[in-house]
Amino acid sequence: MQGFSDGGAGAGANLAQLQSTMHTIEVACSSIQMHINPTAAEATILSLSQSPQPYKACQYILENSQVANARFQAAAAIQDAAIREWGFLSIEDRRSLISFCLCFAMQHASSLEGYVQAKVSSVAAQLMKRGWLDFTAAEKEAFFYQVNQAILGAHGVDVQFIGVHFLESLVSEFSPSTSSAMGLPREFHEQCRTSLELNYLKTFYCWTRDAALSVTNKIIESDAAIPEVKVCTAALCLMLQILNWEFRHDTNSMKAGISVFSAGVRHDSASSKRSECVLVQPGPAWCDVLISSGHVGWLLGLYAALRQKFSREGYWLDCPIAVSARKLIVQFCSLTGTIFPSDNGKMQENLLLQLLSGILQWIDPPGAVSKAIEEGKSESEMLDGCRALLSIATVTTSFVFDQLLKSLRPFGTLTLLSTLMCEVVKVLMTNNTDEETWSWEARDILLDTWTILLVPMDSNGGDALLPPEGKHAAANLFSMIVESELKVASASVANDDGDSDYLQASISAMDERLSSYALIARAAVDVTIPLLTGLFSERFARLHQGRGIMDPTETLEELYSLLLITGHVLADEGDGETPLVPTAIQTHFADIVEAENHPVVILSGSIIRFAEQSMDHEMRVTVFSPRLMEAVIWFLARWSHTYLMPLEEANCHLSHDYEHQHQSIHSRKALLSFFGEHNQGQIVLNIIVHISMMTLMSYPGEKDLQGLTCHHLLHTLVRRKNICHQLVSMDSWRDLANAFTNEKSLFLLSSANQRSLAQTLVLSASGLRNSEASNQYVRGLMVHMTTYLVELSNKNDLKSVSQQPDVIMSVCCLLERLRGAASAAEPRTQRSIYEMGISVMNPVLILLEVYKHESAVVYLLLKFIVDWVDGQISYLEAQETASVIDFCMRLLQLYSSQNIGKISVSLSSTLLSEAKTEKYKDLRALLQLLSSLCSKDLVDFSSDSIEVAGTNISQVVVYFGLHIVTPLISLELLKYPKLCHDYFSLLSHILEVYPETLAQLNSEAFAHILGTLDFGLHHQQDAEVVNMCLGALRALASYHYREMCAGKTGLGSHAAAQGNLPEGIFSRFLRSLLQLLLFEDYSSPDLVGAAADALLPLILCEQGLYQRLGNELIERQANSTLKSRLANALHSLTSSNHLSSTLDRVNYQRFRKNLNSFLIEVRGFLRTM
Amino acid sequence: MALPNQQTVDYPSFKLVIVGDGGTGKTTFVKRHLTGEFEKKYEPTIGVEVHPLDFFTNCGKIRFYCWDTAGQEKFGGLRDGYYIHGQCAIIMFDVTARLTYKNVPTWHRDLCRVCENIPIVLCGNKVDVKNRQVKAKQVTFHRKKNLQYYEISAKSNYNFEKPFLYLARKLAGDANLHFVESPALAPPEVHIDLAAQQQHEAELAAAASQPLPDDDDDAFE
Repeated sequence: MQGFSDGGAGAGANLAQLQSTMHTIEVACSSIQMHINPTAAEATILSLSQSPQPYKACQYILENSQVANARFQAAAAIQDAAIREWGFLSIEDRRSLISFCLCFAMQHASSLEGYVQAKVSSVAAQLMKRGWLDFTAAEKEAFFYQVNQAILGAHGVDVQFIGVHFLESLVSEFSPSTSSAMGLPREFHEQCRTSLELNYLKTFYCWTRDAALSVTNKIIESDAAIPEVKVCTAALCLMLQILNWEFRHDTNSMKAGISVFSAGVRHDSASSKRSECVLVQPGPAWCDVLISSGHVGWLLGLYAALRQKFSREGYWLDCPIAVSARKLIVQFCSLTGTIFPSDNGKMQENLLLQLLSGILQWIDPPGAVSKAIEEGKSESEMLDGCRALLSIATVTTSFVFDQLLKSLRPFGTLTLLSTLMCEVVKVLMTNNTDEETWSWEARDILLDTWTILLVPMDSNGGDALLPPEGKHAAANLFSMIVESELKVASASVANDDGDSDYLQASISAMDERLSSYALIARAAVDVTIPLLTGLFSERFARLHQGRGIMDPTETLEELYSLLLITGHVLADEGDGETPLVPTAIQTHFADIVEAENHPVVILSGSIIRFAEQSMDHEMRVTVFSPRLMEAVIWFLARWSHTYLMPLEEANCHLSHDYEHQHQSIHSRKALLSFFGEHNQGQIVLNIIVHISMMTLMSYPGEKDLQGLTCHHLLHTLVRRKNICHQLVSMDSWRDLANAFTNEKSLFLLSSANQRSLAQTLVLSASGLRNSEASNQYVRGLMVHMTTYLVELSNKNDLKSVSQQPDVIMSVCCLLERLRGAASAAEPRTQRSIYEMGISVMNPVLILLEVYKHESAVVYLLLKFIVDWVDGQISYLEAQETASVIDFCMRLLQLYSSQNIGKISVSLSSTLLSEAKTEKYKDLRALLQLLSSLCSKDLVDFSSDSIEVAGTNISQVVVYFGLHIVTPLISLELLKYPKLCHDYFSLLSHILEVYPETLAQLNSEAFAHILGTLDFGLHHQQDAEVVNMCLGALRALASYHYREMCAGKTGLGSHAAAQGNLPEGIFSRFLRSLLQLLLFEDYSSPDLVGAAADALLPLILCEQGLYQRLGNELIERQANSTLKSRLANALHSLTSSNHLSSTLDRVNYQRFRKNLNSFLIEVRGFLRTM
Repeated sequence: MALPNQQTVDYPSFKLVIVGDGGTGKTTFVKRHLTGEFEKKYEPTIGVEVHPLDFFTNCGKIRFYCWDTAGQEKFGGLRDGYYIHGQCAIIMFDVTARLTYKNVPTWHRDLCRVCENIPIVLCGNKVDVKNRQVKAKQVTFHRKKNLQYYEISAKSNYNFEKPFLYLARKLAGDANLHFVESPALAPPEVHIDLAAQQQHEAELAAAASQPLPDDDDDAFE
């Protein structure tokens, strides 16, 4: 649609043409809004921005159209076109475009369709950034003079508003999180960011503040809402936005070290756990504006005045100006760093005190505030008050935090925090709904506040110690929390909605909450642990007394909840490591000498004794519901990870608290050794194993309970070697192993649990004294299963027997177990697991044939082999490797022969998609298998070198793998993101490491692989996939080029033109890569680098074609200036920076640079329609 | 606001704009509400697709015209041009892809520039996936901007009505509004696959609210 262009910068467009363009755009805009024929309308609108120099038309539409949408699109078109054509617009054109947009927005400041003005001023802002490094200081000055005039209110309130809005757009365009890429490299954005931060940001802040100041009095004095409010609101928003800037040039704070902030103020580098918190650190230059000028006083005063007006018309708690003012106040609470002088935190404390005294009215007295909210007042002010407390906690120590309030109230801030949260918890307790009400949100914010105050600060894990009053506050709060949780628990019996939200996300949210509760409890362990003990014993007693008389359900729910809370208080989650006993628990109770009297021992002991009662049949039936049992198992797992036979038992590390050291070491030792190997540890371990076995056998069908037992409890135990050592010598563990091989009921466990149990038992073999014994143990464990499979597969009537449901079930079950054992491979037991796999190789192939129509069995067979190979491959000797590979190839061939072309189009669409899903899972397994096999080249622990016997085993794998697996992967299947990702990572790995194999493929397989590669190159939504494909392409082309240089054939016939394709592969890829780079969507700077690496060897392979394509590009350009620019750019692409024709690192880097400059230079006009 | 090529309705309707990076699950989320199915495949949206979604509340029926916009830049079409006259919005990101969260501020900025002061919900999708990259605690953007945040999973239906409920309450100005069961509907005709558009009345029926069985075998691993 050339019609929209101005016909070149010089030519005057005639009026009729402009009007018809305007009309066309207006019609298109209306149809978009009504969603009639949107594709055509969209094309019309886009063609405006894609036509060369459409500025006159756009300006005409902006000035004349009555359709707001059309004006909006015209502005968008200016933006797109100018960014694209920026490189060859004259300085004058650039300036006048910005100027036009700015003036337009201001002249129409009072227009009703605010979004058009907002768009136009944002276009000005974006163009301003585009030219930021080119404009002289004077040119920028001229623009900013205009903006400043507007902001100061010289042209009225509407223009003032637009001025503020423009700055907001500008700041957001310069801020890394919201800047537009504009196809420019990172350095550009970085330079702009620095320049703005150092030279303009503070000025903008001052202008904005002045704008707000200029209207403050009017707002305060007037009785109703006036237009000035809009300006003030926008100004507050902009100030907030500027304070949200990620300041980088707070240079001193990086080096100043701890001494500067010694006393009260937190040094933020110590707060790695607080990455999610907002910290405002603008640096020393901002001190005058933000602090010493009395700015905060003005802000608090403004909000206080607004508060007075809330009852009047036009103002309310949630009106935009009130919301913005509060947000800004909260933001000020996060101010920290070198903006404060090194005065031991005095100035910061004063500022915080000033802020706190303003905020106090939002939250104090807590009772009255919460009552008002429950009666219908908006909660937002109270929530902002909570947020302010959170911010203050983030920048102070718990000591300073507590002190702040003492000058205003007879108690400290911690007490206020505790009272406030008790109040919130009370409301939660009375309302008790699933709805996320204000009290939920308040509770979460206040819990975060506690967490920040209490989370261990130093690397030794030393807890933040609270002052006595604070401890008292924490203890009160914790008991309130427990009371409320118990009440919620017992009430939950009544509303029986089941676990509808039983999902990881909600569990982890609850887990996080419980962890915060635990921190509060640990701040006052001497009170809270006895409290928990008391609560447990009350409920145990109630259960015993009420047995058979009353319904225990409520008590069970309470116990469930108590177990979760107590588990969190006593122990931390390991996160893959063995967690230590929490410091608070280690260091307190220094006066306890007798282990039996240690409150933690008492509490743990009472819970374990309670759990043990589940072994009694009658107790189990009446008391231990599956749900309660889940909590018991969860607790035992968490508890034993920390307390059962701890490794630190022997070597308690030193405390930094020297005075109590002697005593506290004693008490800690008492605690740690109590459940140690030589004390009660074995007895408790034995109880735990018995309980586990019982949940597996006596709670049939309780999948979640058994899952917890297998994955959580047993797994935790066998992760620790000293425990394995105990386990393998225990009768109860032997019983479990026997039950595993013989007991019918254990065959009924769910598949994942089967697998896990097998894995656990095999892992426990590491506790035996030597490798011989460990292997023997594993053989004994698994021999029944392998024998069954061997015998089954040898049966004459296998065909009919195999289809019996119970046989299918046994096979599945055994395969799951084999898979579990296979995934437990460790150097010690590798031998026996290898033998286990070898012994079922033939059965596996036979079963794959027999069960070819049972997709579930097929999948299990594949997954077993995948896990087995994955665990074994790196240990195998050459001979073994060869036989494993041979087996895998037979497996692949068999699978492929059964499946190729199996999916027919005649199936109905749902069936088809189901079949595809199954196939998709199989294929992922096969890709994993090939990847594991390939890994042999990277990780190899075998004694003989792979070169000796195997000679390039991976090549064989790759060769067959590519022939067999890739034809199964259709382009349709690649639309499944996970499969797509797996496929391309394997493919790129193969092509990068073994490009020569590709030369050996038959032409069909070769063509298929290249087809998928081409698909991947265009697979924009996953940049990683595109990157992998570019890597693969680079590997192929560079291999070919090097070989050719060495006088060899490289990819040989594959590289040449073939059959119905007129060009060889490198020619085709050269074309499509250039197309993608120049005309399509390879514009992200990250892709350009990878694309350059692929492009260079392609150009070297196909120099003749490259020349031709370059000439064609030049010839196609009609404009002679552009023609010569393009010719020059093409020339320097391959010649500047001393680019040579070798493929080494330096040269690749040079070419990356060249390509970047080339694209910035020419993309703009090449992409014009 | 009704669209002319779709039957007009005599109950309140609102333009809802859904934005967010490509592949975060916008279309899947809408589809889940529309037909109950969960799409595993990824097909990028081109430009925008508009779907009417009806909800039954205690105050009567309401309709959202969901403008499901393209997340991928190359298919973006008019981008912010689609937001005009939007009355509420959902910004979607994928908790398993950090970059999609990093881009939320830009989506939000562009949205607010065109639609002043509309209720917006931020949704972190795919929370069913085990190795999430953006933890709930790391999601702080909504706190800065007064948005509502929900963790959702289009796959497991976790919280899947929450965004709509929040928006409906805000638009109705009634904090106590709630959704009620949809009236029983006649069983669908035989050919469902092509008739999806006309069938939107039948959606929110039971199928949609059933969580999917987790067919990935690697739970717990």
